[in-house]
Amino acid sequence: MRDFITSKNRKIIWFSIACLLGIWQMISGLISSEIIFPSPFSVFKGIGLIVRDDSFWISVLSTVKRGLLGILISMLAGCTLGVFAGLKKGARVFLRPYVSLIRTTPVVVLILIALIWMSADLVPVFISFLISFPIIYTNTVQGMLNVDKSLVDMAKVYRVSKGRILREIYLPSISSYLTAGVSTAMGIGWKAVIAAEILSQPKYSIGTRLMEAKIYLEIDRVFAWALLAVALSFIFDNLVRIVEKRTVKWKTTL
Amino acid sequence: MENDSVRYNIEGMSLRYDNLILYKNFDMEVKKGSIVCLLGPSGCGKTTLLNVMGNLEKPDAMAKNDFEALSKSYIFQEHRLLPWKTVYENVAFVIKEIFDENRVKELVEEYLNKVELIEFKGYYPGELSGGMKQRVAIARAFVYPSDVLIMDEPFKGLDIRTKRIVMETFLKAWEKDKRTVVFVTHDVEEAVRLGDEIHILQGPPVKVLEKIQTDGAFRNIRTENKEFRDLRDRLKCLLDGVCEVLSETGVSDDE
Repeated sequence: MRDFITSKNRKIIWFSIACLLGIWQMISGLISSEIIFPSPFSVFKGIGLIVRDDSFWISVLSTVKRGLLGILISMLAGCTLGVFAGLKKGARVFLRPYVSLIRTTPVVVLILIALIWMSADLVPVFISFLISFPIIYTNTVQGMLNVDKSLVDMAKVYRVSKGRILREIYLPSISSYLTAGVSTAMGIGWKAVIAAEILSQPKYSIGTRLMEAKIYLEIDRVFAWALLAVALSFIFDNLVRIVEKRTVKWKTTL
Repeated sequence: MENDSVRYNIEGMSLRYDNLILYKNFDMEVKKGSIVCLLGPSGCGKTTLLNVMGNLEKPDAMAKNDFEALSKSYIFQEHRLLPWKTVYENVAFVIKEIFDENRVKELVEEYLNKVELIEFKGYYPGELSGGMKQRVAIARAFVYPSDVLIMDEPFKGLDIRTKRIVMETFLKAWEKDKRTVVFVTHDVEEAVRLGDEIHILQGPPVKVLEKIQTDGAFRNIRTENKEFRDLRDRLKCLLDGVCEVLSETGVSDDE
């Protein structure tokens, strides 16, 4: 169950973040080596530095573009196959090994294979797709299986066409499963995309910038990019939620 | 009645679940334009009969099924409204493919008026009470131009006051076109109040124990009326007999 963001919870969250910054400051004070463990202050200064970098925006946008493209493709594929598999048990069983295979193969192995097969720019897209596809597919199937059969029977008695049953009964039923899937996929997806970028080194990407910072031992920049990646996940997770709230107004009536 | 001659028949219907023979060579006749109540204990197989009429279930054998070709609307035990559609959209849902947009609007508003829910047309089912939801389902069933209306215990689970209101709403909507209704219930009072004809069922295997013709005589009669009470008590007694038979065969009373 999701905790509601009440004003009391919000206060606790701010307090928790303040504690984190305090502990961080303390540890960096103890270690007192900016190269190994930078202070929060120098990391924020690092954010200032990377933002001013000429390639900052294009790097961030390229990463976002790749991540979203991958998720978009998996939404198309996951949704289509998921709806199909939800309707036909045979298709569901047939697809099971494929989905398990994609899901259980370690991400790094997928990245290595992708590196051999395709150009640096495409590897993160492919990885984003492979990571989010099983999640979105599984959620869609789950949603399809949980569709209230009695509503479908009702529509059949009234001779409502198959297309409309799909659009007006199945799709609204699975929408919350789908958004939950996309939300989870985005959370894991960004991590995988950046990992793929670090290894594939496209010209512009957060991963490439991270790797450069690491090579030059600019650990404040590594931390700064890491913080940005966290912010990116956070922003997109919330975007999905806002879109969901807007589109499923009826939910509030249950 | 004007449609006196037209009758819909089910003949020679047989259906079994594993070892339980639910129907064996079952016949039934429904007069067009009348409300036929199938009264029987819960779990005797009434819903199965409706499912066969509604093409939701295939019997093992069937000599004749006039209902197959007829268009049907349904009022179920549960309201079966789409929670993501408003009251208006739920009623419009079943006729969108049949009429053009203007006619749909006209019809939906006409029937929402009839069930006295027009002010709630923008509400979602989650915002309505149980009785109101069932009234939306009634509007949906009547707005659909069907030959037969099939009702499966539509008043079950409503409190007495709400049940009265919903039954009155149903009759008001029915008066307009007097379409053929097949109505399954285990509640004697509902059957006596609404029916033109009451078939007392016994089973399994389902048989018609007795057929009672009331021609809708008790629709607007008060509960204190002697004839109403006599018939009600007689049917209750008859039905209790049926229940005893059921428990002897070891079939549970519940569905």
